[in-house]
Amino acid sequence: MLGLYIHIPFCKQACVYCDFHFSTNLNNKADLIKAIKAEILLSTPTLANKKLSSIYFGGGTPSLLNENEIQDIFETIYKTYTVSSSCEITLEANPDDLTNQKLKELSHTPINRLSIGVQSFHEKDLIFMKRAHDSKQAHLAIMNAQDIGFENLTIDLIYGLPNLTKQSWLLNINSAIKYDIPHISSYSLTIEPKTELAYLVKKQNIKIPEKNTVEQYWLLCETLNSYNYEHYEVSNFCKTGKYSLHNSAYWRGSNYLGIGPSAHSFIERKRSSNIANNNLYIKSVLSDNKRPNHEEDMSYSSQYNDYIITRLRAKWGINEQELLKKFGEQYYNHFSKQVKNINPKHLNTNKNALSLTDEGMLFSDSVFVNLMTD
Amino acid sequence: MKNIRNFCIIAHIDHGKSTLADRLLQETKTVSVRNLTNQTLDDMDLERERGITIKSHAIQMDYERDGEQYTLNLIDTPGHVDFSYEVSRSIASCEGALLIVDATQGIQAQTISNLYLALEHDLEIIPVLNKMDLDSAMPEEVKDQIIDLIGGKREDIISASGKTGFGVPDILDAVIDRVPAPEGDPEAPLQALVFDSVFNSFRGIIAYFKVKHGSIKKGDKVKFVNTGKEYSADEIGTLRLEMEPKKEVKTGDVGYIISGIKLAKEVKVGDTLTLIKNPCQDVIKGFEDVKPMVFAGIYPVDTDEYEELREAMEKLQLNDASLTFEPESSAALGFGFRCGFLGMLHMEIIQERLEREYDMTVITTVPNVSYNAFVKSGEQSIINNPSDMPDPVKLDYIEEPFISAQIITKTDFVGPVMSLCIEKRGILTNQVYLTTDRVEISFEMPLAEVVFDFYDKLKTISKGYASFDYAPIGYRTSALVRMDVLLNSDPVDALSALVHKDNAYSLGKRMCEKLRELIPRQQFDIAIQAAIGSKIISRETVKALRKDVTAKCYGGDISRKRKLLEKQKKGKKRMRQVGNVEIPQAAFMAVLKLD
Repeated sequence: MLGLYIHIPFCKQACVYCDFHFSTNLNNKADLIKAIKAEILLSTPTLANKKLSSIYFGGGTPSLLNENEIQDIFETIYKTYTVSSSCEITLEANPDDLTNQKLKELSHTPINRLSIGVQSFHEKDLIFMKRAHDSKQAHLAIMNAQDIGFENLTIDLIYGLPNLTKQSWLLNINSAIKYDIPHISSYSLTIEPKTELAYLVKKQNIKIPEKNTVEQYWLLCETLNSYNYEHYEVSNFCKTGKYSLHNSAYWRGSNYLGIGPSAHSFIERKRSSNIANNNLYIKSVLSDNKRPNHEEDMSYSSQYNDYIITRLRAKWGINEQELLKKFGEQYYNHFSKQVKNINPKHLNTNKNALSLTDEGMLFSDSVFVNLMTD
Repeated sequence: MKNIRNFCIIAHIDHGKSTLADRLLQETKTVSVRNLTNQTLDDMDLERERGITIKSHAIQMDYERDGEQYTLNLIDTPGHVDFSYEVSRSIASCEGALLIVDATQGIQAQTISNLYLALEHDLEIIPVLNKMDLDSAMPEEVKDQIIDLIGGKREDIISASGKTGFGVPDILDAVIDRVPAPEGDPEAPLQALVFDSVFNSFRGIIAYFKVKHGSIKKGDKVKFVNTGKEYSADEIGTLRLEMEPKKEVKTGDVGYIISGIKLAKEVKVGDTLTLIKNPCQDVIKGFEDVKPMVFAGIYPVDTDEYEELREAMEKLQLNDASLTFEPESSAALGFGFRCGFLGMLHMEIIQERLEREYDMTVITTVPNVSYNAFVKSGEQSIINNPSDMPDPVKLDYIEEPFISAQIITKTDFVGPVMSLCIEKRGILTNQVYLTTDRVEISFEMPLAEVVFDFYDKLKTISKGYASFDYAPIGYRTSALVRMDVLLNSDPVDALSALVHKDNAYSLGKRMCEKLRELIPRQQFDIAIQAAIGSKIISRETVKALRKDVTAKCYGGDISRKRKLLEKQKKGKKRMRQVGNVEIPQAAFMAVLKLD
């Protein structure tokens, strides 16, 4: 089985916190789509006879694509790969793009899951983050999507914003619950270097008290838990069985193929990434007939570290017998020794696997560093 | 003998000594251009990176002029105050010296003290203005400085450029014409001065010497007079780019001896080499047993590596006899060694060599000097580690080593330099204007203050235009107290320092602040306290970490996150757990970097 990720590197405008690869200049959109199709074709030799279990359009803003462009890409995908009948096919969409008309168009495509970039239902937060949509559009996008028949939805919600209060955060969580959204990705705001946010924080001396962020984390965990959401990954929650198939592949070591500029792949335990530059990407694929793909040379200990940090992000955790089988006694012994240094409140142990508790997830980086090797 | 010339080079760091030396090797065809890696004489990587010659070397060149064949021995000298004794022995092996002065910078303190050494040994001084190819050269002004200093005529000063090769033949001519041939009695018993030794992993210790009288032949039974050790001269020879074995090294010449010596400490620089059968009557004057000036603990980061560290130190000592070490234990750091160094640079070099050549990860504790402690009962003890200080109740008084320091700087910086020295407990003893804009300031100050971040500060306040040299002048009584540091109420012995009573409060405060910056947040509050005896003089807190998570790991980009965490893991490996607090390596040197 194989997951397919397609990166659409365009946005109408930049959000303050974003450090992903995108361009606000849409001039070469047509060429880029051409290149994406060409790259899908170029990718087959190594991956023939793999069946697609998930397809994910991420970005950037994939909802900037029109129906024809999306269908065009699907045509190439279906021509090149066998797509499983239960394939999860997600498109990331911004609320301002999800008009009734757009939703209708999308419903004509194979897309069966929408990931809506709500981030917040509060006007003030949206303005601060420089999102393209307003509060009303956030609500409407969800309601209209559900009306048209997109039931498998996920929304993004951000907490840890500078002026977010406990009350308004609870309102955001409750809105998601009210709409009965089956899957919620909730991230605490991260100040990435070289973003507008990093600049603002420095220039205006904005303080984001860690205490508030941690309080909001617990409010999130507890509230969603009481509505039967499962906290299955550091930043992801879902109703029974509604895991993101595509993202789960990241944490469970399944193969995924990344298409488009800056896209990452994990194939047969090898990680690689595409060049993060639209023009160079187009040139490489269209003129040189080459995927601009760089394979990472990972040492054995890095492979072990990779295993630790991916497996422990999700609730399935680490099965020690599997670890022993995969990495041998030396790494297994290191792991068993290091586990003893970890705060017991951070770990769930049952006889099958070792995983992080809600509190453990809050300190996941410390846990990883403890268990890793150098 | 009349065609031998032995000379050395006296120069300040960065004045281009090594580059010019390379030019001499090239001009005399001792080394081909192809073989010439930059700065041939410095063969340790570290030396090349730091651009300074740490261990002195010697090299022999052949030069033909007017049908006469000359043998020129260039004896290289280290250019740092930590190694001034080695410099003095190199100088004592020569009859002449090239005084190389950067034409853009003028004379510096270190140059002057080495120049005085050369004059004491009656060396013929040949002044050379280097870097004359640069636009910023100011030859007339620097010539004035040189004439002020050593007299002589303007036209005797050679203009040169190590970079372009300009003036190099003039230098060789001057060496032949102006440096006297060595004098000595070829018929007398062997008397040779050992001016350096190096360690070779295949051949053991190789000692370098200059024959003052007599000669040495392969197979001779020889004796080092001061150590009393006797050996057989298995191989002798002269020092070309490679060693060149000879049957005999005669009066006035410079050579090497290999005699199965295993330990560097068996050969002492400055010792006299003679024959057992027919020994010389006198030893060569000026021999000193070099004593370490600065002490610090060196501990393995991983406590399991104590034995490996011991092996590494022993190997280092094979080729660096000035390094001393003895086992010590610290409550905070476990088992390690108290090491003695010639100075701060020497300490840094040892630490780096341990890490690079022996792949050891070590923690170096706050360095200190050697104190004399007197207890009321009258007993005296030497204290090389603050935690060995006697109980304050029994302690009568403490003596600390003082130095006399010479600083040469531009007049613009006299004010700041004086303030710095006074802040460092210095006492001004003299101030001389060398030229209208260059001043030599002399101070007496405690050596301990030089150890604590003096060089860097001096460099900063003078924008690099200050040079510094010092010599020990004995011990004086001082009001010193031991300042301890406590983390979550547990004293960390490796962070203790002896400080002057009057500076203790401000130092304690700055130390706590610095440690607060350096100690990473952990999952609990960490109290940092400075204390004198049972009295807490300062406190800071490192607040507990409430979360440590990367929320987003988008689009399957695991590698970026993994690399970040691997970097953290590496940093953590260099930390030491004391009680439940993890302390980074840098924290142990914090006291050196206080603002």
